[in-house]
Amino acid sequence: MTDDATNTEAVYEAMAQAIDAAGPERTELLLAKFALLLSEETRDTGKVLALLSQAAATLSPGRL
Amino acid sequence: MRPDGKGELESLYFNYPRFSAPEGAARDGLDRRKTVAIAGAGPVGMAAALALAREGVASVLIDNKDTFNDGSRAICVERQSYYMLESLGAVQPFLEKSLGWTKGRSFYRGKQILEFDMPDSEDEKFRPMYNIQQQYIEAFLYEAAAASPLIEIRWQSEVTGVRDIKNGVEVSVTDTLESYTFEADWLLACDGGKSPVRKMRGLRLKGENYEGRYVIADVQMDHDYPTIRRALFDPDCRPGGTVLIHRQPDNIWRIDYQLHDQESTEEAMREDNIRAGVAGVLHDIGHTGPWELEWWSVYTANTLALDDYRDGRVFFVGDSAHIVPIFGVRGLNNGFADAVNIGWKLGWVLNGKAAPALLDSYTPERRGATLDVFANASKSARFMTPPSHGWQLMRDAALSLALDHPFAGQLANPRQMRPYIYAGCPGVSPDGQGFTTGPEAGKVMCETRLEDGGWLSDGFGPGFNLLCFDPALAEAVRGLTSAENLTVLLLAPEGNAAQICGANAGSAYLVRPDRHIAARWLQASLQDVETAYGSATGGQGEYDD
Ligand SMILES: Cc1cc2nc3c(=O)[nH]c(=O)nc-3n(C[C@H](O)[C@H](O)[C@H](O)COP(=O)(O)OP(=O)(O)OC[C@H]3O[C@@H](n4cnc5c(N)ncnc54)[C@H](O)[C@@H]3O)c2cc1C
Repeated sequence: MTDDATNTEAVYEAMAQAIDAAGPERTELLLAKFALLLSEETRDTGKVLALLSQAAATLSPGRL
Repeated sequence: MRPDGKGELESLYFNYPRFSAPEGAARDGLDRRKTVAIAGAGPVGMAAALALAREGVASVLIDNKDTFNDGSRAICVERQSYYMLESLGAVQPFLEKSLGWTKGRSFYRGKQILEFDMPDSEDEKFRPMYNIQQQYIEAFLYEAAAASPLIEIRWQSEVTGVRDIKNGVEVSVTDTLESYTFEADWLLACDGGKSPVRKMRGLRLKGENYEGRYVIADVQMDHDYPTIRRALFDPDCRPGGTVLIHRQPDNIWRIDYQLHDQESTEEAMREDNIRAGVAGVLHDIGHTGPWELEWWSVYTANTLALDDYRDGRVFFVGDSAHIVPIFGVRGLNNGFADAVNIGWKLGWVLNGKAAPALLDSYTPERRGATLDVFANASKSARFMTPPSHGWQLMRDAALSLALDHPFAGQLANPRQMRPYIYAGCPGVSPDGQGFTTGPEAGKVMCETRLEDGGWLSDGFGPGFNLLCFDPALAEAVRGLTSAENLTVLLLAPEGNAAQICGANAGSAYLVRPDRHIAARWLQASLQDVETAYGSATGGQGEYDD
């Protein structure tokens, strides 16, 4: 079994690199495609929607 | 619109007839009271007249034009509409002329990302969809209507006023010779999306208008491609836009393309721009031969409907009651379903076979169907013409993924075939308990081939039908009322019909004249059938006529 923290860190690093490679113009598209792929893989609509809400909830200025 | 130098109705393949206002002896009795008047002899008005005639009810159609609607307009007619046309006695010419189809293909930047099949099998009598120009639809319905002694049609006659009177309405008409009024017990407003009757009644459609504008152009050409709906997303000819291509009879091809925000409708409608737009699409699909321009128009996607399809003695039927986005191909199909719904109900009430309360189920059933169409069509519209940045981004992400991930291509599936379920509507009983399969109450009855090779639906009578599998129940139900009102089909308990119904020897399905299931029981009793038939006919208590 892989260590969870290490796992997330690997994704974190790969995403940073992929976003830089895509460039600002295509970052959104990249992330949208990535999200759809993850969602399809997860096969748990409720969970995916809850995670989306979580991500959206803390976007406002002043909070992180 | 037609090419420069062509007359307004000068078609490459269709001869428009010319009808005149009533003449000579036909003018006698123009002011006589009618049971049912129908404003508008478009496809929906004619279907409504035929549906009433099927119940033995006479009607008069009043239309302000002297011929059929101009241009091919609605071209996709679905399976359920073919059942309706069959019940109206008009399906034969449709079967001979139209092109049946089952498949759609979607392309993104020239590469196929989706091929979908609509439900079809050996157990289906009709194909899921047929393409046929609206002129033919109207011409075939007109032939059936003209052949009926119960239908009178007054062309070049405009409905100019509607006034409530005791037990009916007074209709004002202006034709080429004079203005007159007549009274009618009921008025069906089938006068289209701009419905003057709707305005006369002070009613308004409510809902949303979408941003997207589409050009629809029909061209005639020898083009070798099966009858498959093609959707081109972001094609070379229209970067960022969407194109639809449909085959129609007579070598006519429908090209739909989306206009960019900065393109004005007036500019886009100019013949040279239409020709350039079409040429671009044809280039993309590899058509190099000659082609001729037939007709074109522009439309927008709207989801608009009346709150109530009934206003006193006036019923709104078809486009007068609702405008739906084109992508769902529900405009005319929905209108046919309205016409058949009000047709049998009003017919049954007028014949004393159902209580007037039955008429109250028209709005919930048909408006419900429209709202369902809105939900689906809005999905399609947002995919075809994303209204904002977020929709655009996700649409593009799906298309881009679909190039190598079929699951994402499914998001481009237009889901055009989804008959509405009249569940929870008055007259439709709660679904029977214990079923593990089969169509539930409120749904359209399904089809199958019987052991003798015939279709299940071929055994249906003109009124209600009871499908049952127990000889004793069949016998008892036959004693309830005439076969004309309620036909009993006794089917083999182990046969194909029992299988698709999920039925055992004691089960039964009660099917309405419009083929929707009024009730079903895994274990039926005479009392069950009696109660459900009573409630499906407006709650009247007795059946002897
Ligand atoms: C340009 C155009 C393109 C379309 N393209 C498509 C398409 O591609 N696919 C699709 O599914 N649908 C399409 N539609 C919609 C489809 O044509 C309609 O859903 C269908 O025609 C509705 O039929 P209807 O009988 O309710 O109304 P209509 O066909 O509009 O018929 C109404 C009739 O009432 C008559 N009338 C109006 N006012 C009066 C009056 N005061 N007195 C007497 N008669 C009157 C009219 O002359 C007309 O004959 C299109 C519509 C238009 C206008």
